[in-house]
Amino acid sequence: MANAPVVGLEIGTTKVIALVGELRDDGVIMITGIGERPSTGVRKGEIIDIENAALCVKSVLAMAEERSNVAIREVLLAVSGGHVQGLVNRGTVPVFDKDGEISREDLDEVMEVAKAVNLPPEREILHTISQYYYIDNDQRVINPEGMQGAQLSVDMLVIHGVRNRLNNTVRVVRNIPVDVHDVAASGLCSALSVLTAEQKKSGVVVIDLGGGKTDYVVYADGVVASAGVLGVGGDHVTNDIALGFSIPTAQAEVLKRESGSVNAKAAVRVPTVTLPAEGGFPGRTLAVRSLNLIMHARMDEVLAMIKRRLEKDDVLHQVGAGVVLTGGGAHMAGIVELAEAVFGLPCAIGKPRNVSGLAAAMSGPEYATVSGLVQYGFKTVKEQARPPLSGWLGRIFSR
Amino acid sequence: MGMHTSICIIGVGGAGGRIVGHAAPAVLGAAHVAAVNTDARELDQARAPVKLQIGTARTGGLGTGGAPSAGRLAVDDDLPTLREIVADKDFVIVVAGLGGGTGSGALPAIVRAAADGGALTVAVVTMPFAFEGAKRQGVAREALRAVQEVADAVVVMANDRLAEATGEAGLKAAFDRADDLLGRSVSTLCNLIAQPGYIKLDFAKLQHMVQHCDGTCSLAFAEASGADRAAVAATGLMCGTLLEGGKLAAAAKAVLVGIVGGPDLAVREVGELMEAIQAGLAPDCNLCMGTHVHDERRDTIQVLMLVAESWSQASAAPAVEAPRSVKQPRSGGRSRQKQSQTTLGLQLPGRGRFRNVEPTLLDGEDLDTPTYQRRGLALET
Repeated sequence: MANAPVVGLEIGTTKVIALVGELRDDGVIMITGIGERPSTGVRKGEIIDIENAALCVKSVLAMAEERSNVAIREVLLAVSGGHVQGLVNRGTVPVFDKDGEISREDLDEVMEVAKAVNLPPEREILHTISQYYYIDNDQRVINPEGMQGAQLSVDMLVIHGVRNRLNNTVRVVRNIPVDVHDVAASGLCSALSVLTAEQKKSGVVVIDLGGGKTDYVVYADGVVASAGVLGVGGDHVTNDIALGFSIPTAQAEVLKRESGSVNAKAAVRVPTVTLPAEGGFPGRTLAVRSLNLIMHARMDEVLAMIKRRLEKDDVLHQVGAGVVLTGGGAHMAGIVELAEAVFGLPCAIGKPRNVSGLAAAMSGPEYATVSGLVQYGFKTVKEQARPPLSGWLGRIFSR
Repeated sequence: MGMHTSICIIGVGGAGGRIVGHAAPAVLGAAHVAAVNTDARELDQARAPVKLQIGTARTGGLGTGGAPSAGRLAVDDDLPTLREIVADKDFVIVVAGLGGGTGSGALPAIVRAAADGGALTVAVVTMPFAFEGAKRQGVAREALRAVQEVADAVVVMANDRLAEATGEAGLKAAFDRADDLLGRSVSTLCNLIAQPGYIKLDFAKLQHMVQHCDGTCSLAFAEASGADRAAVAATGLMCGTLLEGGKLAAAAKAVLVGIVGGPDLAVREVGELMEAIQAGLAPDCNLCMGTHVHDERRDTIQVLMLVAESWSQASAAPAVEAPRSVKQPRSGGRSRQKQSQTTLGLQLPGRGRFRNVEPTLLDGEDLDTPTYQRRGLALET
């Protein structure tokens, strides 16, 4: 094979997943190995216990190595957490050519200017994604090279996060020790994995419902228009149920998966659910309607908060292809109906696409991020856009 | 703390002043009761022995106009006087209705002043009615968060629930009864903690209870007199509307019972009462109790019950009102029962899985707190 295998690693709140992908000569990405385990030491998508998290990651990587027969020396790492946010920064430069023709150099220069965004000192830029160019602050174009104007601007979506928290995730992997080749924001990876080109073109919202956080990405006119993370996820639903009924978290998790719905109006065929007595837990009978009420309240709030943010970013009117829900939380009963009610847009569950190989890696929405990460890896290799250890990752580890 | 705990109850703002006015006559011993307000007229009407008008230079005695910042600054203006009131107190209960300017703004600052003075602090607050609008709710939530940071324990009650407990009464009567109910609960709590008892109910027990319940509590309160008062009070508590005919008590993880009676309070009565309560609890329920005997409390028995269970926002509208005996003139042999119950949310670090991680805050809301609780939704059982 022409390309070295790419290993995508996601240290999630619920699960740690590693995928090994190889690029076939015909350009198809084959998943040749997978490792996964329930996560330890992670809350809300962020590391709270480096040692335990490292043990877990180590065994996941060993599992993936064994399945794929690839010795894993470096990985691509997905990062997320409530601190990861996006902002749009516009950079402007004058066009120096005396005829006003925009050259390649002008493009490079305006990109540099737009990337130089002033962030608080504790924050680092994760990604910079150019959106549109504007000539003389007026005409919106995709590629202005060769056009005429006095001034060239570009809107740059800058995705940034808190350096120390991003570092914690990287440190877990490097403690094993395995090298981190690059990092990518989870939400972008998920979008890469579940969307078609047509969806991106007509405008779409991707919501990745994770265990500890919820990522969202909006595509409009084929480019990423908005992105961010909400530090609320499936764990919150479980916790709400546990507190609401005074039951252990493990029991609440079972209730959420097997008995509850986020659609509070869903017809309840069996009005109560009984939790069996087990290991000191006396057993309980609970009203399914109350369970649905708790779950609905939480997810309704999460989706409504995302909607509010997108309204603030003024991007929702550009969304023609509706909302795609992915991540483990997309398994929750009633979530599609709820999202349709909140957004007033058609909704669907998004599963990983554009990869083949192991059936497991493609079957469920919970694999969207990590499968997108592998695709991201091959994409950057192909474009040679980012030399290894570019950006903040390179800077911190060369210090 | 010595033999006598020195204690202080402060009502902040209009609602706080009314509630402590109801509590003041029932508070025993040397507890200090004070009302604090920016509004001179409201303060004039408050029935508290000590009144303090704050921020007069700033507001001209006309109140804050609903601005919490004005309430906060008013405390700063009169901090030395406030400090004097809370000085050398072991225990300070601060009562306020949140959502307005004085209660929301001044409460956290007053609690902080009390805590700085070395007192253990309990804040008892009411949340605005839903019809008061999102802005007041927002102000109230903000204030609640601020007070949670400084107070040792916070007891939260939604006005909507008080309204349910007071039924279809007229507006003034409903407010009066709600204020009276909170006032009695506050005074009983204060008496139990401050006064020596043969079985002492101290702050440690309250704190233990509050931590144990890990979230929310129901409160029940019953008062009875006459020969079979113990039985009447027990029935009132365990069959009353709030504990849903004892259903909530049966599911409780922890229960705290405080009994206040006169010198005629018999061991048999306490035994009877506790037996009746325990019969309605789960066998593994963590039960704490305390009693206080006071000379002036002859004939009557007051029982306060805090029930830690999961259905804090329990059933919004009880289907059947508990039988309430017709009020009768006080006479020796006949039973008189007054019973009132409602739900309290004891907002403590009830964060469950997110206890040791940084809270997710957005627009002043702690998103780790269950949404249904923040939205005040009722769970059915």
